[in-house]
Amino acid sequence: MTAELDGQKQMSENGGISMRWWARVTFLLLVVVELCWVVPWYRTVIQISYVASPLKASLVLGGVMLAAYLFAQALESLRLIRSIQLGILVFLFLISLLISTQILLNSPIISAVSGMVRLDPGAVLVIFTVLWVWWRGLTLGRDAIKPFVAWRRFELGLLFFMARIFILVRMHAVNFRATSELGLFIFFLFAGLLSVVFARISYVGVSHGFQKNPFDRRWFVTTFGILFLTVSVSAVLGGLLSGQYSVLFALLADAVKFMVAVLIFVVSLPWLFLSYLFVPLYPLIRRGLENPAPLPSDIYPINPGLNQPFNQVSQAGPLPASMVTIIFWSLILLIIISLLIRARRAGGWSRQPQKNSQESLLKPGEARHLLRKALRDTADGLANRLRPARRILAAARIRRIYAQLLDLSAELDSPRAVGQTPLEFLPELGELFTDLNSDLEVITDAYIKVRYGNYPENQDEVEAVESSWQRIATEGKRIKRTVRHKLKTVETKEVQRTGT
Amino acid sequence: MAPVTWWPFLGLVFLLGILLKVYPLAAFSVMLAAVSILANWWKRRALENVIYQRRLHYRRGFPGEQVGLQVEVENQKFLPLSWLKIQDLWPSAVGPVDEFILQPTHTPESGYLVNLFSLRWYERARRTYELLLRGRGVYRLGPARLESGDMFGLFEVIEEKERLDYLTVFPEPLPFEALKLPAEDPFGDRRARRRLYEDPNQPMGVRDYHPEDDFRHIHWPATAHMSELQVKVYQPISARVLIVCLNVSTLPHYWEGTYPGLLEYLVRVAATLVQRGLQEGYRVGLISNGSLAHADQPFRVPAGRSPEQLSRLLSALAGVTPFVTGPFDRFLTAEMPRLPYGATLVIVTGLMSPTLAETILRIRQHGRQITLLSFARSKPPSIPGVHVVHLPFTE
Repeated sequence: MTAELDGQKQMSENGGISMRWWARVTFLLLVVVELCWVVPWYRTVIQISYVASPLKASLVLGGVMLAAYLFAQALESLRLIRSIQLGILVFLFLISLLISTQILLNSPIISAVSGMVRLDPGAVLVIFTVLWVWWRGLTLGRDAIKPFVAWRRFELGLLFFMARIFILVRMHAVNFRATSELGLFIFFLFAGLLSVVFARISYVGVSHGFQKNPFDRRWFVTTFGILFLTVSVSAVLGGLLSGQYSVLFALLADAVKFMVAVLIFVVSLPWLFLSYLFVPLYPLIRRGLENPAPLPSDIYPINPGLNQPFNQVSQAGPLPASMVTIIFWSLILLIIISLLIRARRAGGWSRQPQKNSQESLLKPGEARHLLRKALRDTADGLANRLRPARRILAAARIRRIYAQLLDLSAELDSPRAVGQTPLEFLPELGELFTDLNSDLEVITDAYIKVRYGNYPENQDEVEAVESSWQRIATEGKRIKRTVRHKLKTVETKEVQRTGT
Repeated sequence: MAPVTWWPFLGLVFLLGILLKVYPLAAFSVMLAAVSILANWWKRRALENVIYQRRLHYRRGFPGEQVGLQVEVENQKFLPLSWLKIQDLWPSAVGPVDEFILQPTHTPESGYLVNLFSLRWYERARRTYELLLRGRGVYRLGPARLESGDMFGLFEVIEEKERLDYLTVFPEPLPFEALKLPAEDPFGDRRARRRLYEDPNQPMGVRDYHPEDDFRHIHWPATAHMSELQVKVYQPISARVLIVCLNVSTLPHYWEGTYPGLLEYLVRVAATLVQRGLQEGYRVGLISNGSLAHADQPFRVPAGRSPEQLSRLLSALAGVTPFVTGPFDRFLTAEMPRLPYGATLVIVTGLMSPTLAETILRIRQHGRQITLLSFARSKPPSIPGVHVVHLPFTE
């Protein structure tokens, strides 16, 4: 334990975020994972009683889990006797149960307690749910969060999530909305995977002696980006393969709407701030214009609280108003200068050789070349994997051609004897198709090779056999026609002779 | 943790979702399967084209010195590695200056040098350490155990890199005065040194015969030509040869084990002798009944005076293990025919036995110049013609 703490301390000293914090973040993510399925389940089942809003339920149950985790850790660090620990925990659980019941059932403590005593279904359900999240928080607080634990919790959540969806859909629940469920599931998947990643990192990092903690902001951006991309792609794939186009598009539209709203909000923030700062300048601007425009406060009702200081300033005289502007722009300038200095310093530092450095192996423009090579290699690898199948198909085609050749020779009154090998039969075929000896050899050789497992390597070999067979087939048709014609002539002569 | 076991379950859920028209369920199963397949694929390729190297500034040094080490790992592919843990088996005797950097293993002699990396596409990362050479030996660095997994932390993959490196820590020579050898003639061969040897393979001329000349050296064609007895004049050779014979047995019966303190001291004495011998202009060689690290045969370094000879001899002494291949007296008898004639033998031993004394006497009778350095508790017997130095070893 001491070694772990030493290691964690050292890790925090050597850059990156301290490994203790990774464990905390992992726990918070696991709380999110737990709430993602516990809250919907709770809200589905508690229809018989007061239904708390999702936010309210999440905050209460999350709070209970967090409290259990923190209490468990605190008691572990105090190293108290197990029975005392247990007593304290039971006491704390009862308190949190009372508070949670009061909030979740929206009733005073007295009635909540009486509901528990009377085994009121709503109160019993709350007891079960609170007990569950309390226990889940407690177990996380008593030991290091291993990747296995995180995965198990994620797995359990998945099962419950799926079971709930199955039940709701089969029961044709009125409050079932596929878009929000899909959205929640995507969020759950993202949080679950992130919690497993964080658990892995916090677990791997519980060692001492590291020179440098590599899990810094750069790592976070990379991991977060890849995870986001993977979950998004899997969501699109899942939506498309299961025919949930409309749900997917609705979800996508909602996501885009949300992102646009956030963007507009973020972009508008400085302008909103500026508009308030420029309020004292409006009289000056108005005076400068022939037709003074009305004050924004006349059009839009500005928060009087915000407006008041500026009004006071403007009432004090014309100088303070301009002073405010000067101070404002000076501040902006100062901020810009300090940022520039900091950026320059950061650049200077990054140029210095570092002991424990990370550097890219790629030269400018090399990434594109390597990416192309990797794609080509992948394609080649895929082709190589498919090659056996292609060879088997080509071999089957050659066998088929040879079988057709045998059929043709049989039709032309020259069948292959049972004991004859293809090479023994070749001279007979040569007598049948006198001008096509080379083509016959090509087909026979190809057949013998295939017969003994030497499958064609490329398509050219099959094409050569195909073209040879085309010539033989044409010749065969011609011979058949000739034979038929001869037979007809003989028959006619016979008839004429018989008739005469 | 095996999300692979989920695949049949997910397939079943997908089918159920489609058949019972619970499409969200089918969508969830596809999403999970996609993530799981990607993670599995990632895991299989995680450690491909990952190159791990140890870069030592020096591969040899003396105890107490510090050697810079750079651990370097490269990810030569497009797939990033979310985490990469490298556990390198490291001898504690050449561990980092901060002893707590090494993680404990099942043996106290070694620890794990653990490094944690996170590598993006085509990226290289380095970690630097200062190693402190704490004790003599030839130390094997590695093998390294690489652990990584997919980006989502679902799977784990482990690979062992067999590439090993070696770090040699020479024995630290003692002050020559500590051996109490005469400063003027430390190896007791001054008289012999003055006598020039002649190499019969290198004739350089002829001269008149003197009565004391060897009859075999007469040059008969020249004698016939001059009608007077003429003898060959050979190239005089001035090289002096010193062979240090090290007895690594520290207990009367070699199978009884070893006395590490005494062994280390004997090796240090041998290192001091070879260093001094080379400084004095000797061609120095080394033989021992001990074995080198990672070997089970007695070793011998032929005499030489090349610039690399000192490092060769010290490397051999660095690798001396407590493993005794056989009794020293028998070993010496077996080695004698291989040693160059005229070589001075300096025998370094921590034990003296009547058989060893007898062997030394026999060798002396064959005309070898011998100095015996005994670190045994009991005084060695006086051997005629042998310069004996007795320095009982104390910790």
